[in-house]
Amino acid sequence: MAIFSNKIVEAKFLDASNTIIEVLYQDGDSLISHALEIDLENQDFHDLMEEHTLEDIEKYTNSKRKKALENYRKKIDEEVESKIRDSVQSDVPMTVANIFDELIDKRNDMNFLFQFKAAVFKNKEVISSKSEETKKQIRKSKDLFEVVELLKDIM
Amino acid sequence: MTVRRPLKLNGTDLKEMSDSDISNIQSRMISLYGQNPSVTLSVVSSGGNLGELRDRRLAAGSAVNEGEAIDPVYVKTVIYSRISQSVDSSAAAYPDTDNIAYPVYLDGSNNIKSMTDSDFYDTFVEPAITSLTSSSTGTDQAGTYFVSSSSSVSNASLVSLIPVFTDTTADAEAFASGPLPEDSDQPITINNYYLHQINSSSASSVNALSIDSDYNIREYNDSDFDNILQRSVRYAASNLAYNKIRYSYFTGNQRGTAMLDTILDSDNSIIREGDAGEYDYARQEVPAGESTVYETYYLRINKEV
Repeated sequence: MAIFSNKIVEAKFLDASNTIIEVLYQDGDSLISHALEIDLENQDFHDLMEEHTLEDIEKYTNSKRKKALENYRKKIDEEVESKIRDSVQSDVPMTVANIFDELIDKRNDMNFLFQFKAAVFKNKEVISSKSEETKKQIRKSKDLFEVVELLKDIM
Repeated sequence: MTVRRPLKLNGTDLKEMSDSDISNIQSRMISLYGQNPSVTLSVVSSGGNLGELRDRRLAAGSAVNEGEAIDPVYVKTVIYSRISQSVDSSAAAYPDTDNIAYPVYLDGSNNIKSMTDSDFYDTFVEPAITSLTSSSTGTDQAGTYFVSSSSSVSNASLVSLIPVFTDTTADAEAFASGPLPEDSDQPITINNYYLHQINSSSASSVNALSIDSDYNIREYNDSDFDNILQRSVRYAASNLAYNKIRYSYFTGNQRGTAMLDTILDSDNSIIREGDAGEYDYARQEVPAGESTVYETYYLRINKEV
């Protein structure tokens, strides 16, 4: 019997490739996180499978991820709409030189970067891309040029 | 504390080592420690002996019917205990039964003498351990560990894909709209933190001289000198008072990224109201607002008594 047997509150995959499972189990008043890899030689893994199948865990994980993604998209949409409403049209002519200067100037401007990322995540190629790790890196990036470089992996 | 200046061969002459020679030997010792450290950390499923880290997040109260008392938001805590420290208790000091095992030096009367074990520790081991236990995470800390929010760090090896700590908060956006009642626990992951071990890189130095069993002076060969350096630093790190390398979450120099436990401020929670399936008219207090840091954790390394 594993330490979490009959005390499992939740079991879900931790990583994008679904190889590590996090089991949350109740121990008295405490909620403990117990992580284990899919390993047929690990008795803990077999004990977990007696209570939750891999299919159960995958379904549960997917439902959580789907909901998180929906919330994230909703947040992006709301922010974008808000930014568009608040944005002021620039009176600087859109020449290559001006665009280049602007990109240099705004490279680490968090507000601009946010709007740029919002546009990125509305792109169909990005939306349909399976490169979750790259998308995660884009979300976390604080550098416009790094975002553009990461896009090469997707587009 | 007695720091000696050992002798080296300069052509066929004997010469005292320079500061740079001694420093190079300390770096070589660190590199050898990195190849086979005697104090190691591993990532375990749970129950690690380094202690507990707590991730707190707000969860919504239960939905109640109109007129009933509001059930307030509450703090949900998940305990992570994923790092275990192992000390190789079999790591033993280099034997010095004839008192001639360690490098030689010139004493104040220009006599050639062998260093004692304590001279050797003071000259080479203690500075190496001080460097190994600093808050830096470079070549001079080979074989020791740090935490990063990235699973890939140059010049370091990821110990496990299993994060040692995960910071979550309530997903305020998820709670903000949609049908009532809301699920009480709707977390969003802010960061995963991973354990890394610093890689060892090669470091060369001159070899010291010793007195052999026939009482002749000879230069250590590479293998013998590596052996004395590695055994000594491994012994010191695991067992030698004031030089023991130990990790904890509470004492010592910070190693790597701060592990933040962030949480939404309960003072910003809002009460949502509306029609809901099993309720005529539900009211539910849900998390909202921006996150703040509840607690900051570090992996720490210490030179212990």
